[in-house]
Amino acid sequence: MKRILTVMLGVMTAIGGFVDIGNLVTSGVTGSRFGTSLTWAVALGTVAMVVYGEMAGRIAAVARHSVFHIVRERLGARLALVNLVGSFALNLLTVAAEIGGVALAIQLASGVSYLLFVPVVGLLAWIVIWRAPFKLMDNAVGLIGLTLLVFVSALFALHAHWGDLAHAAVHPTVPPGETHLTWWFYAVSLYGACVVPYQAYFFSSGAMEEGDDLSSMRTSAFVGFPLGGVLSVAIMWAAAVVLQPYQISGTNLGEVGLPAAAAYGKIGIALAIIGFVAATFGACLEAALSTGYMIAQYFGWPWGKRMRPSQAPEFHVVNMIVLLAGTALVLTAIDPVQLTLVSVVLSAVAVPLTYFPILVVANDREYLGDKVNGPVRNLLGGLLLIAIVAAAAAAIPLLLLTKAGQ
Amino acid sequence: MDGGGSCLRGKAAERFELRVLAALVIAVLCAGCAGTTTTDNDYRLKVAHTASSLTAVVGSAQLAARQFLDGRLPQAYADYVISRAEQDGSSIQTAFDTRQPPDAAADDLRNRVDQPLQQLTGDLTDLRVAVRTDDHAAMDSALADLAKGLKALSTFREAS
Repeated sequence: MKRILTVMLGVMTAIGGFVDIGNLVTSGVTGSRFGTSLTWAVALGTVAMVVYGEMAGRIAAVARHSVFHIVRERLGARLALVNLVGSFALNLLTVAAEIGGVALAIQLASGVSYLLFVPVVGLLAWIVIWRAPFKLMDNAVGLIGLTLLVFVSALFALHAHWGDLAHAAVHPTVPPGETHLTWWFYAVSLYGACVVPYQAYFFSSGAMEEGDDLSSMRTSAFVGFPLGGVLSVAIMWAAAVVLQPYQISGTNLGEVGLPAAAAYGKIGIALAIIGFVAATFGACLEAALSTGYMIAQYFGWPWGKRMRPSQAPEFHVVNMIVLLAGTALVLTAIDPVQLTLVSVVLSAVAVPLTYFPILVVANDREYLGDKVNGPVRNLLGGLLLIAIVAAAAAAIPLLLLTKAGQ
Repeated sequence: MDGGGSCLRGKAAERFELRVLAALVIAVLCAGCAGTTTTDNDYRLKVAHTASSLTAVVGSAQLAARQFLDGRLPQAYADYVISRAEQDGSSIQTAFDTRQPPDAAADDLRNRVDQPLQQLTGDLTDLRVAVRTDDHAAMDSALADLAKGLKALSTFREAS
C-alpha cells in the first residue's frame, strides 16, 4: 500500500507541474510544425528534471534543506537576489498563464469567454492554497490530470505510423518551409518548459512539508518526471499525426485538443479538457506556492502551507499577492498562450542559477554524508548543466531573431 | 578610501545591471514588432510567410468544422477554434496590408495576393456564422470556398 502511495506521489509530480500550460502548448506547436523531430528536446529536458529533481529531493530528505535556501547560501545574498527577482517575475507570468489556461479550457467546454472565469479561477486557487490539505490538493490534481493519457491512447486509436514517427524522432531534421533558427527556438522552448525552476522549488519544499523520506523522493522523481515526459511526447506525436497534415500551427489550446477528438470524438475531447484544467490548475497552485516558498526562504521567514496564516503571515501574503497579480495580468486580455511561450523561453535564463547550486550541494558531505553524488550522477549533472547554460545563452537571441518563433 | 571606492564600484555595478535589464526588456518588447520591408525579395518572403500563416489558420478551422460536422466535436469547442482562426486570419491580413511594397512589382504582387487573402478571411467569417447557427449546408459551402481559396493561395506560399 505504501509503495502504491509513493508511486501516486510520482503521478502527482507529473501532472501538477511538469505538464503545465507551457508544456501543453509547446508540445502542440512543435508536433504540428516540426512533427516528431524535436522529441529529443523533451527527452533531454525530462532527463535533466529527473537528475536534478532527484538531487533536490535528496538534499531535502537527507539534509532537510530546500532549494532556495541552498541557492542563497551558495550564490550569496546578492546573486541569489538576482535569481529571486528573475524567478519571481517568471512565476508571476507562469501563474497568470496557468490561470488563463484553466479559464481557456473552461471556455472550450462552455463557450463562455475565458475572461469571465479568470477571477473565479484565481479565487479558487487562493481558497485551495489557504484551506485544502496538501495531500488532497496534490492527489486530486494528479488523479484527475491522468485523463491526459487520452493522448497516448489516441496514438493507438489513430493507427499512427510508429515507424515513421520514431524514425523522424531519432533522425531529427528541420522540415521544409521551416528555418533552423525557428527549430532551435522551439527546442529551447521545449527544454525550458521541462526544467522550469518553480518545479524544483515546489518539489523540494513540498517534500519537506510532507516529511517525505529519500525513497519517496526518488520514486517521485523517477516515476513522475518521466510520466510527464511521456505525456508531453504523446501530445507532440498526436499533433504530428492529426494537425501537421493540415499545416496547423497548434498555437492555441483548442488546436492542441483536436487529436483527442479525432480519435475518440466528444468523449476524447471531454477527457482532454478535464486534463487541461487539472494540469493547468495544478501548475497554478505549484507556481503560486513556490513563490511563497522561495521568498520566505530567501528572507528567512517561516514558511509552509501547513502553517496557519498567523504562524507564517509573510508566506501566505506572498501567495495571495502573486495570485492577485496573476489574475489582474490575465484580465488585461493578454493572450495566455503567447505569455507562456515568452515565459518558457525566459525561464531558461533563470534555470542555471537554480540548478548549479543544487549540483554543488549534492556533492557536499557536510550536508549529505555518504549520500553525495557518485561519478555517474556528476557526469550526467555536469553535461546537463552545460546544456542548461547553452539553452540559457541561446534563449533571448533566438526569441529576438525568430520573433518568438514566427 | 577603500570603502568609498568599493561603494562606488558597487553603485557602478548596480547601474550596469539596471542597464542590462532595461536592454533585455526593450529587446523582448521589440521581438513582437514587425520589421521593415526594403527590397523586392524581402517583400516576396513576407508574402510567402503571410500565405503560410493563413494556410495554418484555415487548416485549423477546416479540421474543427469537419470534426463538428462528423459529430466528433461539441459546438462550443468548434466555435472557439473557428473564431480564433477568424481573428488570427484577420490579424494576418491587417499586418500584411500595413506593409509598404518597395516598388511597382511588389505592389503588383500585393494586388494579386490581396484577393485570396480577403476571400479566405471572409470565408472564415461565413464558417463561424454557420457553426453558431448549426447550419450544416452553409458549413459545407464555406468549407468548399476555403478549399478553393487555399488553392489560390498555394502559389504564393511557394514564392519562398
